[in-house]
Amino acid sequence: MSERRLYIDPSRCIGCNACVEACSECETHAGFSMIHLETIQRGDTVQTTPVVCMHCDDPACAAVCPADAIKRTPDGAVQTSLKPRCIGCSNCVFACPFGVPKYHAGYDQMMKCDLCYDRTSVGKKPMCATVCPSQAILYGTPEEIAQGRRGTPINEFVFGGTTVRTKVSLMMPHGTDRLDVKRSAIVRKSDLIQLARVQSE
Amino acid sequence: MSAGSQGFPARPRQTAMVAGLLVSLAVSLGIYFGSGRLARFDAPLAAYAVATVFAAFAVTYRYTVWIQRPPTWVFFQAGWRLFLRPYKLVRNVFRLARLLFDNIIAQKFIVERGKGRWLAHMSLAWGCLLAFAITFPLSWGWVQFGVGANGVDYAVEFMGVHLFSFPPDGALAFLFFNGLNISAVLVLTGVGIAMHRRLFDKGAQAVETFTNDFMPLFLLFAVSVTGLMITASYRLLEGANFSFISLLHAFTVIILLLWMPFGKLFHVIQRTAQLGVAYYKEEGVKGPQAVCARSGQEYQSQMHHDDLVRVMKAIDMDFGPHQDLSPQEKRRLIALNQAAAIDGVPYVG
Repeated sequence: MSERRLYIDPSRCIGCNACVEACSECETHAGFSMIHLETIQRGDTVQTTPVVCMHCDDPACAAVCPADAIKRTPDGAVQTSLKPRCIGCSNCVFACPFGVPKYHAGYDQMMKCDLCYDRTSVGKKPMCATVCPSQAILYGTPEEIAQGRRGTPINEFVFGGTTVRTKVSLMMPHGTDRLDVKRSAIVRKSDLIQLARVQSE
Repeated sequence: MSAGSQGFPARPRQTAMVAGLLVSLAVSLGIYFGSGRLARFDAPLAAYAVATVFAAFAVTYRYTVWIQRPPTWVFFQAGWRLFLRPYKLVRNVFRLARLLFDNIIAQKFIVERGKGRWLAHMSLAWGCLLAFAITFPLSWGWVQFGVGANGVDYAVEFMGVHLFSFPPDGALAFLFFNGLNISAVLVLTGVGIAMHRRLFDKGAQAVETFTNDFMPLFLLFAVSVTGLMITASYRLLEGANFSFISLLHAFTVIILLLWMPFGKLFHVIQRTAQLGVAYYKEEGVKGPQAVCARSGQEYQSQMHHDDLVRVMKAIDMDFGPHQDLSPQEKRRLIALNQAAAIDGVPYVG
């Protein structure tokens, strides 16, 4: 059995907020939810998406940190900022290409998803994956994904020509090997209605 | 692209080596002249003094390398530039006093994380600072105790200059004679609370490491306990094993001083950057704001945006126009790109 990994599929998200609530139960940041649940384009679509840290191989957040406060564990989990070091500058908040880190003004500290390291380091699922009813967030093996899903997991993203590899995977249509993130990608309600018409005919 | 070509320091290690040597030279000269060309230097404390000279070199070396990293350099430069503007200098000095009180003296941002943590940190921080304030001048031969004019009082001398005298049985005498014992009790209180958290808090257990989290507590514990043992030896045990205990204490203190530049305690030095960042953020709020290329909303100060782009280019992490998006739009964009890639049913499955 291969190692379990985290898979995100925004198209499955139903916006129930269970992950947001579960996230704040994590022992390493008890009381604070680190996951983001975003509406995508209100008015055009009801779609929502969960956003967790993608745990980059070469994390931008850590690279731009002036205080060396963000560390990556040997197994690839990018940790929340070290409390003694973080000086609350928010470089990481704005450098992360996925928009993940959160600045907590009361603590003057950045906090982020750490893959529920208290749980995943001892073989348990992250909190969000334990409660997601539609499996938009799934913690499982590549074999489980290959058996149960039509799409392909990818963990290579391109932002403005720079490639970012991540520990967490995004589900994409079959045959995709990387996602070149384009600013212009927009799904409109009218497009979806048109699509539904075509399919019902 | 090398960092040097972007307006960032080109040879950080050489600069740091020079800075480290200069500071350790300054400490050595300070010891030499401050102790009246070693006339007042306390020879049994020589090992401590040598350790402080080494620590001065290593702390300065690490600090100088650290501030020259592109992201740190931006805040270091900008913090000083904003602080030293002539027409704002007076206001900035008052603001600094306030920031020093809130962040360094009262450590208010730690209260928010928990009262126990704050108490532990305050005890550790003030215990250590008090002990350093007492021992550094003593081991450098800067402070000496003599006999007062009346032949009974203790006289305090700083670099050979008589400062004041106090009677040997007053409250002041008690504080002077027990200063290090008080600091040891403070440190042990902090170590106890911190160790309890390290042992029983599941969140802390998940991410703590021996070198980063237990080692400093063990070292501080060893220094404090051996220090108290010295007092116990001459007060309660008629000096039993005194020389061995003082040697053991010296050993633990020297290990602490030598380890300080490399381990967790270096955050004491790094913390000062929080002050510069406070000025930077204040200035950012007042100035023009960067507008997100997708949402049209303001999300970050233009100054921070431009500085960050410069830093990211210098460290080969150029995300191009993606950097002109607010964090929220970046989060939405992944789902939008997924949706756009789906051909047919808007569902990956």
